[in-house]
Amino acid sequence: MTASLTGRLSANPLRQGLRLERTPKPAILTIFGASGDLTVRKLIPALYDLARDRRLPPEFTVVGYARRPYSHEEFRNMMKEGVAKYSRSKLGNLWESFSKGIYYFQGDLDNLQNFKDLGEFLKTLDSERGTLGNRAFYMATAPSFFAPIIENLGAAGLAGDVRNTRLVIEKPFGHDLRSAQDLNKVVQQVFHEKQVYRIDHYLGKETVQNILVFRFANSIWEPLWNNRYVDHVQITVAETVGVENRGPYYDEAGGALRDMIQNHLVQLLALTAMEPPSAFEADTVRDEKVKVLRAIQVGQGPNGLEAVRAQYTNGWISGEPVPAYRDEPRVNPDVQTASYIAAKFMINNWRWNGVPFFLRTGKRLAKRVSEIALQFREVPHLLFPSSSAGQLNPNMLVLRIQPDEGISLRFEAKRPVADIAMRSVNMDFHYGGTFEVASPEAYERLLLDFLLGDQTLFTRADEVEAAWKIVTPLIERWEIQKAGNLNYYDAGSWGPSAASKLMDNGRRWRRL
Amino acid sequence: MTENASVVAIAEPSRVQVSQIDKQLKTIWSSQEGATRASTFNLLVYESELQDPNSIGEAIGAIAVQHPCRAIALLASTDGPKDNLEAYVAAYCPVSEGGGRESICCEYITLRASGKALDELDTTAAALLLPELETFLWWKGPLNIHLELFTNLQHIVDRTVVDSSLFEEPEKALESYTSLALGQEKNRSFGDLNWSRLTPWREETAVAFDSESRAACLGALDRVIIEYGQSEGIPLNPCQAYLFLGWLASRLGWQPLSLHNKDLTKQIIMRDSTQRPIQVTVRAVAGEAHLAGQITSVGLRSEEMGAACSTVLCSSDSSSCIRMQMNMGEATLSLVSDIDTLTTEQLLSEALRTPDRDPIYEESLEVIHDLMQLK
Repeated sequence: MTASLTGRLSANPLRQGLRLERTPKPAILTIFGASGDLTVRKLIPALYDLARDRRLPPEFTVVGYARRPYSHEEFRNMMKEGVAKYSRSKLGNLWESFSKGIYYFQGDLDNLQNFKDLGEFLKTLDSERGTLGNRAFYMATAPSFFAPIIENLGAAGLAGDVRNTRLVIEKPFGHDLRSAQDLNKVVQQVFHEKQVYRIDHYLGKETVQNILVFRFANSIWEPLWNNRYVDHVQITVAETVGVENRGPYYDEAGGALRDMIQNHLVQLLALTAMEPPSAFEADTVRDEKVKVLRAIQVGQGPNGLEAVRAQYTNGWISGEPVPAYRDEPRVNPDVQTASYIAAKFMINNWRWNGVPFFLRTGKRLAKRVSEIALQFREVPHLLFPSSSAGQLNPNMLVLRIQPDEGISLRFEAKRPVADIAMRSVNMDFHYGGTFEVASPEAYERLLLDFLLGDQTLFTRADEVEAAWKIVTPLIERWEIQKAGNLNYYDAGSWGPSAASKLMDNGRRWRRL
Repeated sequence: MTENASVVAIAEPSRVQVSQIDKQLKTIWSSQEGATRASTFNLLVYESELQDPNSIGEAIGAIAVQHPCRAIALLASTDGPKDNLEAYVAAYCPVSEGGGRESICCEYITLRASGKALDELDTTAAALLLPELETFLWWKGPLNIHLELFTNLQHIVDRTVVDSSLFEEPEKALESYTSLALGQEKNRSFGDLNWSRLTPWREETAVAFDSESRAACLGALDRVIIEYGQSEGIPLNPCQAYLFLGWLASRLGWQPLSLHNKDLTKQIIMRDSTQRPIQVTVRAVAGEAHLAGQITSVGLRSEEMGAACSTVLCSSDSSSCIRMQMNMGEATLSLVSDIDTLTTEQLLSEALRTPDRDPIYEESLEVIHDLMQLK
């Protein structure tokens, strides 16, 4: 029996008026790399939380696929620990029935026969669990396994079609433009693009999605959202954590440029700068993102500087000493990997021509904060006496992604004294304080959308390639220059002083 | 200062002259540096025979965590002087996770009245409402729609929230209530905390029929058994069971044909759009006090040939989980779901999210209204 995997506006009349009018079809989700951290810490806890919110059908089934020899029960117990530790909701009565739908399949990722055996196992589960032949595959493995898994799924006849089979590919999708194009070719030989969900978990964050609502559900911003009123935009994703035990992976992945800028920050840039889509649908939204991505190019600061790369040295964070990048566990002491990138980008279109977008991200920075800040131009004529600094503070609109999610607008107000004296004040909207409900984890939202067949928050083949094209000039330059331009910054600081040289015309990085 | 886990009172309730309420509130706010006075709606709360003005203040404080509002408590005093009116004002701020006070706070006014002053309390309340904001009335306690104050308040509120689990003479009150709620003008609405308590039951029932194969069973259902708790010393209250039946019947297009009472059991016959009969049993079963009036199990079956499907939903003893078992021919699927037991304040907060009419709720009330006519 074949049934569509597509989530439907319910034909079930009992769904009318309930908070979730759409539910995924019964399906088996096979996770490749099931013994890894991502499965235990994120995927299974997110699925459990979805089940607890009654957002999954009772037949929903998970198969963990990995090389290690676990029994179903051993695997369930591992997952139980993950749920107890990382789930948004506490482990409760639901675990009893939820865990009955979790199975383990031992196999190699490059062994075709194992994939054929998996196919037989899934058929058996179909009849036991009522999953009707609907399949979902999640690649939670190292990127080097993506191509072999996809090829084996195809060769074993498991790729199905748009109606009943889907594939999730974790980031990173390639390590440069060429490898991303190659991987897209492999994917497209086996799967239709409508079956493919390239994940960037940043897009699952409520506050990232709120950027679209903020921009396109309010009429007051649109007239200001262009080069006539915006002086420049700063996008910051700062972390206090170091590479910790991910050193070799982080080095292999190419550091902050590939790990953060090419995906998370470029996605934030695209959502900030894109034109309004004609509808909130997967392809209309992604069409607009691709359009703006194609218009972005690396910009030049004063002295021709385009970007700054740096690596942290030892320092102090929250009163604790922290090691230098090269002293982190399993890190090569001569490694040139950049843990910090600051770069200037320009967008060559009518809306943004001349407006620089400054992006920065780094590990072991002073504070964990992610935000998009739009600084507006100064008033054309200073009517009031200026401040001691000689000018008014420009208006600033800040979209805070994390923590303290919300939006703030800075503007000038008259102080209640006899003279005309002004002071900057902030008007704040706190996401948490206004909507006093726990936001779902990013993976919950993305897994649910994936199971419902909504691709809006997933990156399309052309989108991921366009994002690689943007950073390709920096990759190429730095590969030629090697260590020559690597800067250093103290852990716990706001990055290298060289980053300030990217700024021109009196602009400066925000102090966060 | 009064403190609990979620709010802090920035000013204890203090007694003032009714004419001085606004002035006193301004004094409170001007003394609080950094506290922002905010209101998203007016909330009137009626309660009878309240002993301590602080207790309702705490309830309102809990609501303020989610909804900054101007809250006006209307307390019917039974022990004070005749035709008396007292007023108190206070302000609350939500407390953040780190223990600090949030900057957005709300205010509440208490009006305690007796005799004629109570009957006319709507005029005093009306003068205290913030303009151009929606006004909600939470009628906390048994409902008497013929009470003068209740009738008068209907002219100044956009939405009235009741709790049918507290109805005295439940079936009679439910009949009056459905007539009132269904006869309202389009811009006024009613809500019931007991309806919000049903949400997990409605969701769990919907889950049982999501898949296409089981959805087919919906059209073949011909037997429904709804059980609710009863406990010694607590009056029988089948309102929640009726609300569930009203919801199920309205979604499936069933109309009630007959209702017979026998001891603690009601036998109801309904018909679907094809005139096919559906037999419904609503019965009380002995249980613990906290389950009194709460649904404890729902059984949905079809005995039609070729449609061998049945679903049973049972709450566990703790009322914090629902156990669902679905039989489709020989296959059986069971699921245990956890349910958060919501406090009254959380239920109320849900009811305050919007003043809009809920068509699903109203269609459920229509079935109950028709059913009550068959008594």
